[in-house]
Amino acid sequence: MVTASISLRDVGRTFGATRALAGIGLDLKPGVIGLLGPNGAGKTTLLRLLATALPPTQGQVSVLGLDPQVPAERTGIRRQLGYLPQEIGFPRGFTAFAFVDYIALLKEWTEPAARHAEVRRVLGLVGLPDLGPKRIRAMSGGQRRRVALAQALLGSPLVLILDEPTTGVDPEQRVTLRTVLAEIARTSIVVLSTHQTEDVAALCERVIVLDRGRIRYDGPVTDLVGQAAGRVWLADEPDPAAKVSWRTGTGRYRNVGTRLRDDVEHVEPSLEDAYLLLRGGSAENEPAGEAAS
Amino acid sequence: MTTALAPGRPAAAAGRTTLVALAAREMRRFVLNPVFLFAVVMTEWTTWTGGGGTTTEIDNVNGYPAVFLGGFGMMATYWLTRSMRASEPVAGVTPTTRPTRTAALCWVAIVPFFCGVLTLFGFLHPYPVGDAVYGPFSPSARLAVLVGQIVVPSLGGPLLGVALGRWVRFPGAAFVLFLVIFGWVELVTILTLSHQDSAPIAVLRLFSPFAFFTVHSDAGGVTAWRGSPWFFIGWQLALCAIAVLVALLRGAEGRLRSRIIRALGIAGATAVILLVLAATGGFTHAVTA
Amino acid sequence: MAGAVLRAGAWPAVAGISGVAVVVGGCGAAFPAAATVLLPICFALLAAAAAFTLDEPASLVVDVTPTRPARRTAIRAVALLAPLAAGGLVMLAAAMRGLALPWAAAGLALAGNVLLGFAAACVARTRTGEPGAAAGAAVVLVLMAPGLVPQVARWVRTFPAPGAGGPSSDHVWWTVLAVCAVAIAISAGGRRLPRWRARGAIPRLPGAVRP
Repeated sequence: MVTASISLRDVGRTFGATRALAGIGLDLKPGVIGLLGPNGAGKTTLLRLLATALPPTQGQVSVLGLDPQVPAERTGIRRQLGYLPQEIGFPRGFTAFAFVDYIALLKEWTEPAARHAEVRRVLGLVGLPDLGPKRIRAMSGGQRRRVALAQALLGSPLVLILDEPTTGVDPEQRVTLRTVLAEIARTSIVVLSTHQTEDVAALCERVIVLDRGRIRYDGPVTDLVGQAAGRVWLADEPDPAAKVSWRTGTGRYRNVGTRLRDDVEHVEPSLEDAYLLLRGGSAENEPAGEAAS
Repeated sequence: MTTALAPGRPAAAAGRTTLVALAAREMRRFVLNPVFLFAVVMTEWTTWTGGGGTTTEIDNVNGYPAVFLGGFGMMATYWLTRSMRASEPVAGVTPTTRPTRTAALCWVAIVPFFCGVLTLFGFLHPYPVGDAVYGPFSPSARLAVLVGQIVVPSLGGPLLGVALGRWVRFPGAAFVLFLVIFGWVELVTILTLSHQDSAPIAVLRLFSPFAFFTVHSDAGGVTAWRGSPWFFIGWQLALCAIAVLVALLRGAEGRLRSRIIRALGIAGATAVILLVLAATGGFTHAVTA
Repeated sequence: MAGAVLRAGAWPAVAGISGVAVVVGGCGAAFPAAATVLLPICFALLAAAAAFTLDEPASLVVDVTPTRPARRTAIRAVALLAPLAAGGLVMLAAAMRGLALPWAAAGLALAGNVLLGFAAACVARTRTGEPGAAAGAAVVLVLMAPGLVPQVARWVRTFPAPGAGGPSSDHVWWTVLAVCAVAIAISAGGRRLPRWRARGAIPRLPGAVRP
């Protein structure tokens, strides 16, 4: 039985003059790993690398002990891979069932009965058990996203790469999906890129923060949140000493700052606070003008 | 959540099994394509009714299968190929490589090919090989003319559509190419009418996926033009092979890519040789019977 | 505004197809015996080029701006000069080669072809943001019908043949022009807007300038 593992050694990726990733070193084991970062940090590029959709321009990638640069081994990886890209188009006129069935066929589910059963299973997992016959064109954005997620779940892959899986999905379904992903992560590596920090907080043991193509943080979620302890407070006005400040629904201002303060009303930090704190510090220390896609 | 999350994995399927299943799927989609259905209806109607006019020579009618099954078939397979482009980010990371998916699309051409074979029999019914509409061609040459005008274009047009769909992103490419080929065939045919014995004009006429071989003579009877119908079929089949190889080249890597490029070279050279043989074989000047 | 709206058009498609049309038409001019076959194909390609002038990739956003569809359509209609100029070039080349064609009728056929492509795009644009491919294909098939189906050719002629009897292409194109004008007027008026916009006056933001 193959043990899920992914290893990246000094991996980089450039697009012309743009360096999207540089010096990436990672070892991933089964579990859910969250990937955070600002727009243009290189998250999608990293996910495409892991999904064997893109080769690195430097360094080495190993997925399930196989080298994606070797065609035969890349095919072997893809037999155990599920990938949900950030943007996906659907062929015209396809129903949800037909599309997922098509991808299942490409994943070598050639026996029709088994394939159809698997398609029904994954559509059920994403909360669309009765919408198989419905045309994708007639579905809402959230439903289409769930159809796209369903195809990634085919065959319970050992490596599951998800780029913004919960975009447009209602809160109830998001909770359901967390349960599904948590179950898959018992034996599989699930890498999840999202802007929804609450999903990362609820689901991930480990989080990687990318910024300008480099890893800014790689470690437990609790440790990252812990870095913000004592650095988040509420006030009636935006605090000039805060790095980030915004008005909450209660009318008070939530402030996040780098300096510990005793004279304010502290609150428990969230992952979002810790991420903003990390980003605020990164933006201060990094030289301007470093390109990244 | 009670749904089972660890089903049995599919047995490691041979690539061939996936190809067969994919090809069957694509054929089902093609058969239901409205452009193809229209093409079949028009082909059978024009063949059985003779286009509504009096058939004085075979080329009165033989252009229609090539236009509809070949030309419209090309447009249908082009759109079939392009319709899957939207899901490429996902399909592209499955174990089934793009050349395999392309091969499945190429198999779709079997459907119009069989329609072409049926049309051939449909044509032979009112106009058996011994009929005067064939002009001075020998019986075997008459059959070759029919196969080259009805059956092979029905195969080659859809294959060309797959190749075009794999390489060209412009959505109007299929109908533009259809018009260009149609225009070229008309042009070289008209040139041949005024230069029936010219060798260079014969080469131009045969340098095409479709060619006319006869014309109704003003003095009565049917005039057959220069060229060998049998070698012309060979040239057409070489073009079919080139279309398939060009289509397969998209996304091919490593040894497969090298093999395809090598095969393309061979197919190209073979096509040139067969074109020369087609232009220099058969009748060496226009013959009227 | 006009420059921006025109810049967003599918110029590569319009220019590319017009270029192919010029080549085909040029062959018709170079070989006069083939002119009556190649020039209709040239004009059909120009009709297809005209069908791409309304393509709008960002239609989801553009269609909910205050600028009315009629105005946007009128601006995009300027792009029809490209296929019309290409057709004019071909006709000029044919005239210089001494081709004996009824030039007024040929000009009418050119205008009719281009307007037909544009009208098809206008109608399709009420349903999709990028109507060029579908409208272009439909127009090409309709225009090629007389050449492909003999029964149609007996009743409909889309290109003036010099000295020939039978139906006149002028009648066809005057009819087509009239129908196209109506179709364009209805479609460009935004008849397929969502119902809620039709119920009341659309409020203007303070300081907004009437387009």
